Amino acid sequence: MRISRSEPGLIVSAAAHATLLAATLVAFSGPAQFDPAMENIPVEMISDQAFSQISKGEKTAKEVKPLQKADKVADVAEHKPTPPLNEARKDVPLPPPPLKRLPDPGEDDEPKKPEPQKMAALPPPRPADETKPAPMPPERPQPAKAEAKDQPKDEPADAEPIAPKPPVRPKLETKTETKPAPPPPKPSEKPRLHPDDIARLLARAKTDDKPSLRPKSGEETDQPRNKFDSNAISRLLDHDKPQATGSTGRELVRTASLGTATGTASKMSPNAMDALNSLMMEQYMRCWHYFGTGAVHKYVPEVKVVFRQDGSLAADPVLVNPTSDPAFQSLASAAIGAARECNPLRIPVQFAPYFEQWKSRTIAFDPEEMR
Amino acid sequence: MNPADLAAPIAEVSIWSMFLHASIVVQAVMIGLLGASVWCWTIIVDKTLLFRRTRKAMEQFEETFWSGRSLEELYTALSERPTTGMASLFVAAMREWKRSFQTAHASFVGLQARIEKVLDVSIAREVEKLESNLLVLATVASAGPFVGLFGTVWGIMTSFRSIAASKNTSLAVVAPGIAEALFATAIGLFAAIPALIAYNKMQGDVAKAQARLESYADEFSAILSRQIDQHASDRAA
Repeated sequence: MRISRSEPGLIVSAAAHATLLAATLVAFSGPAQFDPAMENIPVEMISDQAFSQISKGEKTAKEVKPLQKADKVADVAEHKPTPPLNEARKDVPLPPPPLKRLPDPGEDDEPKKPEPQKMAALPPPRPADETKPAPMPPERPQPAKAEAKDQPKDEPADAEPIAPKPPVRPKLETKTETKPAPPPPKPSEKPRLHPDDIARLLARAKTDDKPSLRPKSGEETDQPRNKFDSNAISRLLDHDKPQATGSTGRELVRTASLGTATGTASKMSPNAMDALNSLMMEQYMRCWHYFGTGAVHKYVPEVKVVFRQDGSLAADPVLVNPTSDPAFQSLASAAIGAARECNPLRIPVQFAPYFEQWKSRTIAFDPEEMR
Repeated sequence: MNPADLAAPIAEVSIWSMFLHASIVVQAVMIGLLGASVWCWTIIVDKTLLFRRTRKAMEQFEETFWSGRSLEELYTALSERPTTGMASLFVAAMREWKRSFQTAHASFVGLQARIEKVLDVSIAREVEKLESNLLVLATVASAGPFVGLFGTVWGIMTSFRSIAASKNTSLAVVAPGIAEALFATAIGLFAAIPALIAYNKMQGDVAKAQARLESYADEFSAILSRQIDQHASDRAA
């Protein structure tokens, strides 16, 4: 191809390609690398304190029975039949034999025959009914009602050809029985409004309306509208008993929860417990006035002390392990004395929330350590 | 191959290294497609300019032709320099006309037919000038992707063979070869797409120009045939 001024195509094209190539060389020189896929691992930081405070549910705790919550013991124990579970219907393998009904005196034989066939086809619904506390026999005596309830239900599910006519008849009976019931209230309502009553009502309405219809601007009404009456407060309050009276049950359910697997509670940490112990012993050491021999002491008096919230003694200290050996009597009395002497035990405020845990302690006065 | 590429054969995946690491066949395909692309764009640029020039010349000529100047005058002005488009048609027809009248006892019989033949030939010549090289665009547009695909298939083939040889199927080993191979198809498409678009556009332009030339030729031959008839009646009288 010749290069002429009128045809600059080759030069233009070559230049364009060269620049494009250079641009791509620059642009694609370093392909963007994929970010290395980082997997997120959830890490929970936990301090020593928090770790020692974890309260775990006890595995040996009593199992909570799946009882309904009951706040009170019921006066009359109710025994509600437990509703048949859904699974029970499915699990029943075969239709029970009692389904073959004895020939009823009032019924034809015809409807009875198709029944077993239906049951073979549709086993589940029947057994479920049967599992109810009342078995077949008690139901049978009242033939008409039981039939009326059971059979109309089954009918739509069953195949049409087998559906016998007779069962419909009782249904009609029950209808005619139940229908007469609603009408009576209606006629009784209407006569209640005597003409005299109407007149009285109208008169009252008139007297009520008249004063309210023409209130003049300057006129003072009898009742001030927004007058605050402090005596009327109690009238405004609701005097009804609270509706929720607590659920009742045969027995109280008092089982507390077993705690959560990861729950934390305001429990004294071992560290804090140690600190409190050493604090107490330090104070008791000041009240310890026993200078016995440092020989082999096989006896360590243990004193049970009960504190109040402020650290003072709530009860007289009691020796837990009294000894008969007279040689140790002085040691034991020294221990009790020490517990008595340090009466308002100084307990820092930080331990106040854990009062429940230190309110009753058994302190071992080991003469070796107290020295 | 420069030493830098040898030092880090796999890690570098720039365009240039992709080209260098490709097998010889793929390299050839790439170079060929790049050349085709250059050529296509050359044709596109040239043809665009040519069409623009032709259209302008046609408009200019039509303006002067219908301005009322005498045909003789126009012919003497145009025949001095090379002409394009309608002007060349006009010059060719007028030359044939003049040649018929140069000899004293020239007959007008067959002059009309000769002029139309001359006009047809010059139309064909003009159209051929316009649409020359357009077939290259069509060829590149249709064959470019296939050639690129051939390069890709070849490259993938070789990369699979190297996988089989190295017994390592990790993506880091496979990926560069496939990227190289796909690069061939990319170049093929890069060449083919503009070629296809330009071919369709220019084909339309050529058809338009041809229609315009033909209509002008018809008009001009009508004028000339009127003149011939006039001359014939004059001579008969």
